[in-house]
Amino acid sequence: MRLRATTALAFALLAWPVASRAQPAHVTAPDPISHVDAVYPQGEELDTTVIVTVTLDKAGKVTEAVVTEPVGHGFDEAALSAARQWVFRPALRDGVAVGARVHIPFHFSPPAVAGAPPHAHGDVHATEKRPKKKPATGAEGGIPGMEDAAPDEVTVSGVSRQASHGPSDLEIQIGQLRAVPRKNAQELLKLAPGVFLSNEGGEGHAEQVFLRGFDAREGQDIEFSLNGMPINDVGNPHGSGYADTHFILPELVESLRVTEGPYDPRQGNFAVAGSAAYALGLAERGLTAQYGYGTFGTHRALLLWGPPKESSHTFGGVEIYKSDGFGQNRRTERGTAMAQYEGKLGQKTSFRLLGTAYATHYGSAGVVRADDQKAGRIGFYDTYDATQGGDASRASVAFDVASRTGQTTLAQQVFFTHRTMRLRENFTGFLLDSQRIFQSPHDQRGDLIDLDTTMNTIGARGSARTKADVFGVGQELELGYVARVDGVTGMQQRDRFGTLVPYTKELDSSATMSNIGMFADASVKPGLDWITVRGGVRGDIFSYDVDDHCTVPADARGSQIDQPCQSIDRSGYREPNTRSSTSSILAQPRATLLVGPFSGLTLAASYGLGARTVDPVYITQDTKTPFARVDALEGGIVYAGSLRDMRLGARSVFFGTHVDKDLVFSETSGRNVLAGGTTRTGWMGEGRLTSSWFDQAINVTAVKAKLDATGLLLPYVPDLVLRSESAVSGDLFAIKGRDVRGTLSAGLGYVGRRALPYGERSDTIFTVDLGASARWTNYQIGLSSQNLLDRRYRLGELNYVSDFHGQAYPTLVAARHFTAGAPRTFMLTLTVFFPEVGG
Amino acid sequence: MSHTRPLGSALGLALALGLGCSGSTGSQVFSFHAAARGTDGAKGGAYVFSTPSGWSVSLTRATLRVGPVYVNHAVPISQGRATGGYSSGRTIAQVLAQVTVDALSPSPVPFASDGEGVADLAQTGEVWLLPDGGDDSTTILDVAGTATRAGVVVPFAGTLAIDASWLAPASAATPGESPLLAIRQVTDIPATFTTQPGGTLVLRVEPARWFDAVSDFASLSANGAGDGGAFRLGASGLASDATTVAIFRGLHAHQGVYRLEWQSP
Repeated sequence: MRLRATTALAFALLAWPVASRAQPAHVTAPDPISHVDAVYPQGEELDTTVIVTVTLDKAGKVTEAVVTEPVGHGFDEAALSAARQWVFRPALRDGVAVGARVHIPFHFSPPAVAGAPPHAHGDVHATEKRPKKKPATGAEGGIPGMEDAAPDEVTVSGVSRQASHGPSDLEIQIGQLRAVPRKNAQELLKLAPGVFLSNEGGEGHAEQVFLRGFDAREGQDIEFSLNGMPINDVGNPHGSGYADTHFILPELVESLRVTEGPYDPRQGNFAVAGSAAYALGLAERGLTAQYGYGTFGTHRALLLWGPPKESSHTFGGVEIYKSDGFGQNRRTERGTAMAQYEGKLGQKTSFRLLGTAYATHYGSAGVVRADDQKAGRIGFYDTYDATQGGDASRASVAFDVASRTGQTTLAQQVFFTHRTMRLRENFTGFLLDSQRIFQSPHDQRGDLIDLDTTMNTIGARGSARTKADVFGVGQELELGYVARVDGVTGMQQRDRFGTLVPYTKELDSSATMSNIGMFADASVKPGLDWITVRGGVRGDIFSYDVDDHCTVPADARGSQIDQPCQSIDRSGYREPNTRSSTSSILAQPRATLLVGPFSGLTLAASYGLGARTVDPVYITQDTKTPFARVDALEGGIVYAGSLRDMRLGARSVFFGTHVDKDLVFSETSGRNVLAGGTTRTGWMGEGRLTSSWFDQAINVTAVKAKLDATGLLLPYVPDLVLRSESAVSGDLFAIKGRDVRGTLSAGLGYVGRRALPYGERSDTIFTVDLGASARWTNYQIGLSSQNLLDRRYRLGELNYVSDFHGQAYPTLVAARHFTAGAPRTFMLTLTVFFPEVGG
Repeated sequence: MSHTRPLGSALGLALALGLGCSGSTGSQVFSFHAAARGTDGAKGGAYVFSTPSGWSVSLTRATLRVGPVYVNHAVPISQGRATGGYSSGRTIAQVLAQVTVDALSPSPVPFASDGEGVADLAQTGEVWLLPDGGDDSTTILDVAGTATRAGVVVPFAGTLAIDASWLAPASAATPGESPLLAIRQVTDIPATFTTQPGGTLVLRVEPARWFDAVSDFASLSANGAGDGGAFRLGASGLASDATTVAIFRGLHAHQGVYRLEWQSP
C-alpha cells in the first residue's frame, strides 16, 4: 500500500537563511513560492520530524538538499524528495539576489491524524504554525553558509492518501505540468492515459469524455468528485451522470486521482470506466491577480488568494471569463468562485469547509454536415441553428471533519449542491417532426431540443479506518458509507426552428433518487512483506421515485389536436401523470493483488465490479434493473524510482471490461441510450520523468470495444490515444540583480481514427499546444497557444441521418457530421503577485 | 533502461493482438448510379395495352417527372435506438435528384446526380413526385393516346400537376391526415434486393397501370378537346372528371406502376 501522507509545509517560515557572518545592511530572507508535499511512508505510524537543509542558488532554486536530523524508516527519503522540488524567491542582500541555506523541518503526523475526508483521494490536510515574525537573517552573497540559527517550531500534519488499488490507479500531481496550456480543469484529465475530450455543446457544456474505449459522454461512465464531494448529476435528463467540471478553477487543482476501472471499494455510482477525484490546493501564497487577453475576443480576469499564514488548503479564487468564440454562435460568459478554509480542532481533529459558485451563459454551433461544408453551403466553423447553446449554474458547500483515536481514524463529510441547466441542441435539423393525423397540417418545424432541469443533492459520507499488527506486519481495514438523495425536475421540449418557441413536449418529470452504500476495504499482508492483497466489497441500494407528468404524448391515438400531454387514453379519462418507483441492491466485490516492489517494480492485478444507475426515463414500476453492471479485470507492472534528483514513474497495463447494459449515442435523443452489452480489451502505457527543472509525461492507450450481440465495433470511441506533456524551466537573465525565470511547456495529443457507424472511420486528430512565461520578482507574463499548428480538425465526428435543408430534398441516409475543433488560439496573460497580502 | 522494456514489450504485444484501427461498426455508405426507364412494350412509338375495364389504349406520349427516390429497410445497426418519429436506419438509399422519364422508352435515363446509400437489404421504396422548386404548376405527368372500346374512340392528351386541388377535405378530428406532401409521394413500392457498392438503382415505370382504374375514357369529353381533337385531362384536381381522377390515383399505385431494381456491376 502506498500510503502517502504529507507534510504540507509551512512555507515561509521554516525556510530562512541563518545568520550571516557578514552583516549586510539590508537582508531579505528567501521565501518559498511553491512547494511539494512529502509523502508519508507506507506502513509507518511515527509522529516525527525530519530536518532538511537545502542550499539555494541566486535564483532561489534548490541545488543541494541534505537531511541534517534523520529519522529513518523512509521519512528521510520522503522529505528529501519533496524538498528538492521547492522553489524560493531568492534571498536578497541590499536588493541583490544571493544564495542561501535553509532549514526545512518536515513534521510527519501519522496518516489521518488530521483526517482525510473519505473519497478525497490524494487530498492533503495540512496545518502549520508560523513564527510570530520572521527573524532578520542574513544571507551570504552567493555562498550559503549560515546554519546556526534554528527555525521556529513548525508543526505540519499530513494525512494518508488512498492506497493504490491496482496498476490503473493513478495519483497525478499536476506539478510543473500546470504550465501546459489548458482551457479548463477537465483538460487536466489528459494527464491520465486514454482520455480524449470532445465537446458538441459549446464551451459551457460539459466536456464529453472518452476513456479506455468508453464513450462516457459528459460523465455517465466516470465518477467525478471534488475534495470528496460528488459532481455527477444523478437523473439529469440530458444523461444521468452528467458531470460539468467547469466550476473548478484549474489553478486551484492540486492533484488528480484517476482510477481507470472500478477497483476501489470507495468508488460508487458511475464508476464504470473509472473515477476522477480532484483535490484542491493553492501553493502560491498571498494575492495573485491575473488578466488574460486572447484571440476571438477572449478576456479572463482571475484573482487567487492564499492567506500566507494558512495552509495551502485554505484559499479563495474568483474568475470572470468572456469570449466571442472561434466561429458562429460560440460566445461564452462565465463566472466562478471557490473558497476553502482548513483548520484544526485540538491536536487530533481537523476540518475543512468548501464553497463554490458558478454560472455561465453560452452559445453552441452544434454539428455541421461534411457534405454541406464540402459543397460550400456552410463554413467549417459555422452553425445551422444559432439558437443552440445553454445556461448552467451551480452552488455547493461541503464540510468535512476527521480525527484520530488510537489506531482508528474517523472521517465525516456532508455536502449540498444546487444545480440548474438549460441546454439547446439540434443534431438532426428537420427530421423528427412527423405530421400526425391529429395535428394541424404543418411543415417540419425543426428538431431543436430545449432541455431544462433543476437538481438538488444532499448527502454525507464517512469512514473509520483502523490498523493492527497481524502476522507481524501491519494490516488495515476501513469501513465506510455514502448516502445521497437527489431531487430532479426536468423538461424537454422541441422548438420551432430559429424561434425558441416550443411546439411539443417530450419530457416533463420529477424524480427523487436515493443511493445508500457501504463498503469495506482491507489491506492484508499474508505474512510476506512483498505480497499485499487489497480490496473488499461495496454494497449499494439505488431507489427511484419517478413522476412522469406527461404520460400520454402528442402522437398517441385518441389525443386531442396539438395538445401534448393528455388526460385521456383508450380507456377514457385519466390523470396525465404516471408514477413509478423501484429499487435494487447490488454487491460489488473488488480486489487487487500487489507483488513487490522489487527494485521499484510492482506487479499488480485487479478485479472489480462496478455499476451505473440508469436514467429515470427507463424506470418502470418494480422493475429491478436500475443499474448497469461492469466487470473489469486488469494486470500490469508499475515502476517508481529515482535517479539523482529525477523521479521516474512508469506502468504497463492490460485490461478488459464487460458492461451488460451499455449506452451509445443517439442523435435523435441527443444523448446516449441503451444499446446492449459491450466488451473492451486493451493496453495502456504511461511514464513520467520529473526533476527540479523539467517535467515530462507521456501516455498511450490502445483499445478495442465491441458490441456483444453483433461483434461490431462500438462507434465513436477512439481506439488509440497518445498524449505527451512537457515543461521545462530555468533562469534566463537578470534584471536589477534578480533573475528572470522562464518556463516553456508543450502538450501534444494524437487521437486515432475513431470507428463511426456504417463502417466509417473519423479523421485523426493531432494538436500541439505551447506555452511560455517569464517571471521577474512579483511579475509574470505568459503567452500560450493551443492548436499552434492551426490544423483544421474535426473534434467530434458522427455518422447519422439528418436533414438541415442544405439540399433540395430531404436527406435520409446517414452522412458524416462533425463539430469543429478550435483553430489556433493565443492567450496573453499578465500576472502580479502580492505575497504579503493577508500575511 | 531496463524499466522501459516492459512498456516496449507490452506495446508490441498490443499491436500483435490487433488493437488499434481494425474492425467495423457494420454496413457501409457508398455512392451509386441511378436511372429511370419506361416499358419494354412500346413499338413504333406507341404502347398498346388493355385496361381491366376493357379499353384498348394506344399510348403515344407518356412522360413522368420523378424524384427524389428513397429505398427503405430497417435493420439493427451499431447505433443507438431512435425514439423520435424518424426511425434511424429505415432509409438505406436515396437519390436526391429528379428526372423526366419517357415511360414509353426502355432506355434508362440517369438522374441528375448519383444516389448514396448503405449496403443493406431493401424491402420497400418511395418515389416522390415533387414539382420544380416551389412551383406547384410544374407538370408531373404528360400523356397522349387513344382509348378504344366497343367502337368508341376517345383520343386524349393532357398534363397533370400535383397541387392543393388534389387534397381531400380534412376532417376536424384528423386535420393532418393528408398533407400536400403526402399526395406527392408514392410509398410502399415493393423492392427485394441488396444494395451494394458498384451497383445501379433502376426505377422502371409501367404506364399501362396508370389507367387501371379508368372505367370510361369518355368522361374526358367534359373537359373539351384541344389541338388535334384530343380530349384534355381535367384541371380541377379532385373536382375533375372521373377519368382524370382515376389517372391521378393510378400514379400513386404502389403495385405494378413502379418497380425498383438493383443492377449489380
